[in-house]
Amino acid sequence: MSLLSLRNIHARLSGREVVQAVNLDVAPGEMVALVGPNGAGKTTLLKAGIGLHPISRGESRLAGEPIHSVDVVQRALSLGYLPQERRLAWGLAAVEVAALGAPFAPPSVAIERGRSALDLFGVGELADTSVFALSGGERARVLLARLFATEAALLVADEPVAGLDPDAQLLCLERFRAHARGGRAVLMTLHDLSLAARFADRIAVLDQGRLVADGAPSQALSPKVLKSVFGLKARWIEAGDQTLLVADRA
Amino acid sequence: MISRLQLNLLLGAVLLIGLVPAVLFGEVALTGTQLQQAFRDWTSAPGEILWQVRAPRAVAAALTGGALGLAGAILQGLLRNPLADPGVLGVSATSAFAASLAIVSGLALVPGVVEGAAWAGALLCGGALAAFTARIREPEALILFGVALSSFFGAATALVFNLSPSPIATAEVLGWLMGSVEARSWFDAIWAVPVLALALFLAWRAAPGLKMLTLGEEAAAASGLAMGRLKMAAVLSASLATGAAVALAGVVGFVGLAAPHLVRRAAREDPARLLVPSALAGAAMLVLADLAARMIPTDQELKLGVFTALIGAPLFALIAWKAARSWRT
Repeated sequence: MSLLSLRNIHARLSGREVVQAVNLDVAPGEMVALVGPNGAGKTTLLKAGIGLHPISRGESRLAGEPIHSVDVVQRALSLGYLPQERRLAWGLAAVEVAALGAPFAPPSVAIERGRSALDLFGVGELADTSVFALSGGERARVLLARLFATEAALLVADEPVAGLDPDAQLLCLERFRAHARGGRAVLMTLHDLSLAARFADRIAVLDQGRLVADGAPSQALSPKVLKSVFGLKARWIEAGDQTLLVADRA
Repeated sequence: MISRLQLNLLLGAVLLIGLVPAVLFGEVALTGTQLQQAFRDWTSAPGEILWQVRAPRAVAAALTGGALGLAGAILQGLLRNPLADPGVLGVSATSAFAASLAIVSGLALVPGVVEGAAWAGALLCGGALAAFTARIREPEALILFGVALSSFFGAATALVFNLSPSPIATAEVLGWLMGSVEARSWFDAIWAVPVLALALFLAWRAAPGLKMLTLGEEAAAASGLAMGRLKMAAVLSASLATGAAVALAGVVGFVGLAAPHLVRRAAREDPARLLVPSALAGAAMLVLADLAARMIPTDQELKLGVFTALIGAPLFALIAWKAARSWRT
């Protein structure tokens, strides 16, 4: 059974239908990357799928249950969400921000989970530093740690590598992949198609609110799709054990 | 870094220490012998001055400041904005309008009516805000709604002035709007205590939600906390506390803004941990401000609201400047 199952999802933003008839499944063990140009509707689809944005038509199910009938606590325990918005209102210590991922755990357990998650993203030594004293990239890692501190089976992340240096991007995606490999699942939006192809098990391509491709990276990101959706003249090249996308504007 | 308990004990001690001169000193200078007499015999003339005039006044100042400090901390956490205070959401303006209306209607002679009107105004505004919060998630929308309420009831209060048939009632309204704890009795002070206790309880319930809002509305909404209920508890708590403050002292600005900032760093910037320290800091601030307003030699006693505004306005500018710097990072 899919951890997340979207069926014929339609969603509106400011009166405009920005997501139309999307079907998407995320199964245990899978890491799915949702890609598409700016304004394709990726963020709205993620939010609609996890119950944070109204669905005008269609249905989203979390582990088989309609998302809106799942108790909010149960939903939070099964599903962790990293929004695109990275602004933090107050300068809490990094470990306290990470511990917000576990609001139902006893405080000492939450702090311990926060600390472990910070270590996972290489910012454990900054645990007691105010997030206002951190760089943008360090802050992004603290927020990733907060997501992982949820220990939820399904992690949904909106552009998780935005603002990270190349090393941190790779570390971040490795952590997500390890999470999925542990029998859990990941759904994320990504702009870097090479990274998406390298780390994701499946890629879903969204264009103008519609899902135009969904499958293994080499199938989903075919030259035809890359040209029609992204306006790219692109080809895949093999470099060692990696497949790289070389692209030019079409 | 001091613990939460140590911080609260420290601020509690500052408040108690502030209450001592607030009771001992005033317009009438008492000699050492008179002070001894006041402590020995509470019904003597010096005893009356200390325990029936100054002490309830100091306690009223403490309760007003505590209520405003608590309301400020709640609203700043709720709106994720260091510039929020009870004035921003229109609670003070609505409450002051209701009290003004009671005064010009000639109801000020009936004990408790003006205070009751202030309460009713604050709760009406709180109810409207809570209903709005239940439907709209964005804090910016709540601020705009509050600003609209504040402007409307500010204009309505001006209309009350405009149409007031009696210059005496107009002067009374003006006195109310300037804020003061002059001539407050034990009765005035004590009846605010249970309401403030309820506000504190609601604030305590809302505290985890305020902390979660550090991450932003979306992450908080996905956290599993019942954010709608927690936000409603926060709005009601802030309204109750502001209503208590306006009922006790009229309109006193800037304490709700400044108190949370004074203790924010010591509370490790945690909006949940900030609530009680902010109330204690607000209480201590207003006790000392009232003492200063009494002790500064002027022909007419300085009004507390005027005094706090004179100190608070430059502080507001400083906070805005600092906040703008942190927003740029």
